[in-house]
Amino acid sequence: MHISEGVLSLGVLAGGGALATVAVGIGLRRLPESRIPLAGLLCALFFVTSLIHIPVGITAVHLVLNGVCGIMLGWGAFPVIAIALLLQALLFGFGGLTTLGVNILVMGTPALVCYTLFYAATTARPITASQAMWRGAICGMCGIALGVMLMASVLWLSGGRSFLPLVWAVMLTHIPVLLIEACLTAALVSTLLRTQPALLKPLEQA
Amino acid sequence: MRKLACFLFSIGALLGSTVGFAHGLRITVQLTPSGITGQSYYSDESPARYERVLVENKRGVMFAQSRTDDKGRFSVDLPGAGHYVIVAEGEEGHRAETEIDFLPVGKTSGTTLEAPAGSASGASTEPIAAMLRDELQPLREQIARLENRIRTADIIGGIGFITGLAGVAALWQARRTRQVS
Repeated sequence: MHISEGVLSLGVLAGGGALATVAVGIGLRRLPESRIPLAGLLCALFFVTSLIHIPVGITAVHLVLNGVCGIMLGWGAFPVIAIALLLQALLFGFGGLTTLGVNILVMGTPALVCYTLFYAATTARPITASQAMWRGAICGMCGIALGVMLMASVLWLSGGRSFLPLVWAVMLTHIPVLLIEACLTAALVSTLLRTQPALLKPLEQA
Repeated sequence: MRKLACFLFSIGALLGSTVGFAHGLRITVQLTPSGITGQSYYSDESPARYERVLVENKRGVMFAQSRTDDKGRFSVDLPGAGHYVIVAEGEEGHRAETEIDFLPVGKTSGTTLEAPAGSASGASTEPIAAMLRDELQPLREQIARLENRIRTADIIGGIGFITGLAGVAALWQARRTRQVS
């Protein structure tokens, strides 16, 4: 899901860079002090899991875990993803420095949507174990699906590609990742609800 | 928090045990008498199969194009002497490029992208140059792969950097909280 250098148009790169800077700034302001160690932990996990590939047909795809980052950090997922992507670009040559902003948005925006989805209508009653599991699974899938759609959108905006065939082609290759991320996120949030329920509260209550 | 850390790193370790490294696109190119031959592969060293390969100049004008085979290999005839940019385009916005200087047979300098192989001017030396190219090609590809390989030290370094950064952030927050109180 890393877009390389030289693929996107200048307008998309500039727009992506500006929006990502704003998002990272908001993320840094809204990240609660108590979740900084967790942010470091998730950043390391995000940094490493992108190295794990799953062969699909003639290509290979990799895990992202942006859904997990989103559920636990909300806006704070943006700086976490930004640092991990920066290090991946510098150390492994994944993506690139010019496409960093767009890549942050492609992986960070779904994380924010996952946060909203996970905590939707949970203010009145505390979330139950089965709710957490299902919401986690949905968020795990949404993180990838939305990321794929955003990636296809920026490629389409840069011209030269038709939108729907691109979305379907990329989505098809990401089905295994979608399922693995759904299972992982569901397992993670279920475990957290039993062991560390404080981490599964909206950021305002953290 | 400790349980969570254990859980997250267990996931990482479990998945990491099957690590193949995804997902940057790489390209290596060597000269042939009539053009270029090369290979495109992903950073997990799996071949980039059936991907588009373009030959352009610095301004992006395309001269030729080809597709990689099931082993990620390709060969393209070049129109004449000049400086070329070879671009491999993968799916999902993956792209790799490299540059070469090409001189046709009779004028060839025998240079390659990875390492200049000295000069061999004149048509009479061409068979020797061709043989040398064939012999050296696997070695050059291996060197290029080693250069591009993701090293464990890079992974550990990255994790260390993140840990340090989180520590600095926590320290800064703690100081700010102390000052406020």
